[in-house]
Amino acid sequence: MLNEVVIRVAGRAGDGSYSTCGILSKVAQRMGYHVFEHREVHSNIQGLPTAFTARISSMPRHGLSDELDGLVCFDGDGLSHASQIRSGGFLLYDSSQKNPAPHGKNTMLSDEEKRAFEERGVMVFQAPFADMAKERLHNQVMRNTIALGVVAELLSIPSALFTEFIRKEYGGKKKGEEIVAGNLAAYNLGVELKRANNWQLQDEKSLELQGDSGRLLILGNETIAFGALVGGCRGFAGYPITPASEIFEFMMKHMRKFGGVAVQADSEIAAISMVVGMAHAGLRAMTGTSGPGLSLMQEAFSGAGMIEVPIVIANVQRGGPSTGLPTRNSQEDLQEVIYGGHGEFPRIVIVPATPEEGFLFGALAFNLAEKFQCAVFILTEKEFGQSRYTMNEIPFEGVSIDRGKIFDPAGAEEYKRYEHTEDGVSPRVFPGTPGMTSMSSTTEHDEHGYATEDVASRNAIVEKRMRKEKTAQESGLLPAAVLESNGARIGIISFGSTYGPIEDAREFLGEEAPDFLRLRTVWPFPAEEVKEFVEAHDRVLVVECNYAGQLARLIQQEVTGPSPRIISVRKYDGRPLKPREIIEAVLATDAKEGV
Amino acid sequence: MEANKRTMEDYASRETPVWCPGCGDAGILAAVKRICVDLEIDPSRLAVVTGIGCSSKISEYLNCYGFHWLHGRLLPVAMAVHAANPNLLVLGMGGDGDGYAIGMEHFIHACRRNPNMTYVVMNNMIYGLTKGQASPTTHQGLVTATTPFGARERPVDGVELALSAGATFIARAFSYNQRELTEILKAAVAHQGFSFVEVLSPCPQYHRESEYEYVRDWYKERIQDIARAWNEMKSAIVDIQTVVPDYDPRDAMRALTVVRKLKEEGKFPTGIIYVQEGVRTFEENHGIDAEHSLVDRDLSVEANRSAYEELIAAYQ
Repeated sequence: MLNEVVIRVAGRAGDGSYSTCGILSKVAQRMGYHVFEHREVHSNIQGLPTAFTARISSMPRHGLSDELDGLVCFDGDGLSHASQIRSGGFLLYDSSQKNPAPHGKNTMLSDEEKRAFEERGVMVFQAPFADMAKERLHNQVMRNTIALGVVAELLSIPSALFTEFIRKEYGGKKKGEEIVAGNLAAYNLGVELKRANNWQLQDEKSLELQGDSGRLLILGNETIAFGALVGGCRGFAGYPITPASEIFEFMMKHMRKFGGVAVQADSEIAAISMVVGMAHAGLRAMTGTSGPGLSLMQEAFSGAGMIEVPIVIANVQRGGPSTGLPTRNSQEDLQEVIYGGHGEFPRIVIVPATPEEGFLFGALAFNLAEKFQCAVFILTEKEFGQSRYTMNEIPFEGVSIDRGKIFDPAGAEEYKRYEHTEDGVSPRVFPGTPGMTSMSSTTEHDEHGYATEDVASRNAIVEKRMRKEKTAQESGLLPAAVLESNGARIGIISFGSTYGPIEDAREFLGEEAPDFLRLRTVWPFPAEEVKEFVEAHDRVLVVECNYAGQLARLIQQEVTGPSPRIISVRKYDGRPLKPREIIEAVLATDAKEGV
Repeated sequence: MEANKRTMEDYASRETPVWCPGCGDAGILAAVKRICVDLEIDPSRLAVVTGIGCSSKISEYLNCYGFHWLHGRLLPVAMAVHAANPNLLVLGMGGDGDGYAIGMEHFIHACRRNPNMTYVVMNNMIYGLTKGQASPTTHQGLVTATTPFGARERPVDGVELALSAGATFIARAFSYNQRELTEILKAAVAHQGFSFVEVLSPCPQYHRESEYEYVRDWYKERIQDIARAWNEMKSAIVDIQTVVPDYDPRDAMRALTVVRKLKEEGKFPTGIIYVQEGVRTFEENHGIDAEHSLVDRDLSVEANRSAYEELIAAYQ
């Protein structure tokens, strides 16, 4: 039977509420549950409202639910989330007057406000957590842990699990023992508070120990970085940018141990050029970036396309254009990764939606890049990259390494860096290979790499380069679209992290659920799979997080032409897509006449 | 053995240089080949990374692992190539526009990072390939396609800049002075760390000085050996009783003094201007063993599996 509890902690940036939610997630993971942990923050270090959500479930989840079972709310601003609390759920509210949250708006909930909640079945548990923390523990930050104690007790989670993680989370820090002792005291205060007030959930929701699963709890960004490392990535250069920095930080931490090199570059332009240099020298190399950084790299993408060096770029999308919404979700860069850069050159764009895919695509990208000697983009978004997921295990068995065509200097053949081959792929040679030399150039060149503007040569080499895209498409190596079908008349096509809410919406709709085609390669465009799917459905909702309906346009451009069957469902407010939004779009579509 | 010794021809690619007659870049190409012969560099160990411009075509003219990259971006590529495979002798080569305008960021950061490679700026004080626009080193007053009333802004001095940015080997040479250029390049490639050599490389086509028949004469009036310049300067200091030492390239303040003084006079010091030994290199800072190429590592999952598995604990 499905058991699921969704708890949100609404606080202020820098106030420890992320740790509060994080400990809850870790405890649930340890208890054997699947966890999807979501972060919603401002582009700010301290002071602005934040919300962290742990969706704890007996089955894997890949997005937020519409409703919350509980909201832990540290000041008045957090009440903006209260409308999402389900009937039967609870609001745990910090009513501290003497020690309000920094920049917070704490007020006591009036009897009238409380009644409004209670009328729709929401239990209100109100206490001055920060005042208690300040008075009893001389540290108002401990209010987080008092609240955690209440939540644990409400959900009947064994205390020992929490105290273990409090030790783990804070023990290693400066003054660790002092902090651990304070937090343990705070936790017990919370437990006592709950008991003293006899706070109870109406429907006795609880989390029972499922047994330690050995699962990992890992950020989407970290799955990509881990996958890349296992896929043989030994070169990384990056520049800090939200929401991609965790890929960079993972590489800076671990790369050296594996005999690779990871560099903090002077800009995204330097980063991508370093990646090109590493790749040219023979390392599997990548960078991770987001919108503004991706734009700075465009010239180098063209350069890499021309010089045929295999590079991997993880683009973790955020709200744009420009500085835009650095910490918020979007899928606005689809067109940029497909069309960006000047001139024409082949590229591959793959899109993960689950932690397993993050890992496997992180590794696969290097095989694709080296086999087809082109840029491979791992297109993802804040919603995937900065959410934490439980993963049963690291699928090492899914990774193999194929470095593509490498020239054998022992053979009798003359080496030509850009030799015209049937599949468009010319053997590479790594600098330093004895007895050889080679020329690689961004200037249009002949087979040997030397500049030429000869018409026949130009035509031949353009065709050679572009041929690689077809070779890639026909290779069977690109991740195929995932089809979930029960013969519905309505279909959904989407990509990336919209997977979670679509999955939830389909579950809710049950027998009325639309079919679903989830694209995992968006370039070369999977025209055959999309064509077949569109033709099999009366209406196709194309769900994406951008204003222009970029995927809907792409489908019409590449497959259907302008089509009344295609219904574009878009969201561009920077917030995650909700199951309800998809359900509503499906129901609205269902009401229409067939085409 | 002597019979097997490589000649300059062995370092020539199949391409014939298409620089203009009198172009200073030809002298730099000759000097690079000369040091390769003298230092017995195996062409398969030589990696030349260039940017864009007339000078950057040099990677096509050398028999080596040539990489002709983007305008201004050769340094991050070159340092990455060397980090990946420290067995290579890496030369980054490009023009003054490439290095001091669009690529300035990378120049400063290469100086501070100290990668074990050599960067040669072929400074012709003009954008040649795009046909004669002012560059960051164009001197004030020069009429060019984009400065029809004469250049107004003060030029960039790459040597002075490198001094303040922390470069550990700084030299300037004149392309027509082959002997000095060759000696400087040899010292540069022998240096452990980032060696920066600016070569004054006249552009007879677009660097037009109205009072001079040959641009080389304009240069010859303006270049001055740094040690000689120092000696002249110190002899001018009459009221100091103590003996002032000869020029010592290990003294950054002395280097800066001469560089600034000559700059005020519109002159260019040449020679080895500054050397600092013993500074940790980029490669050392990244734990890269100078003897072993990172490219040779076994990437297979099996070979690394246990180390990969150690990373899992942090997520459990």
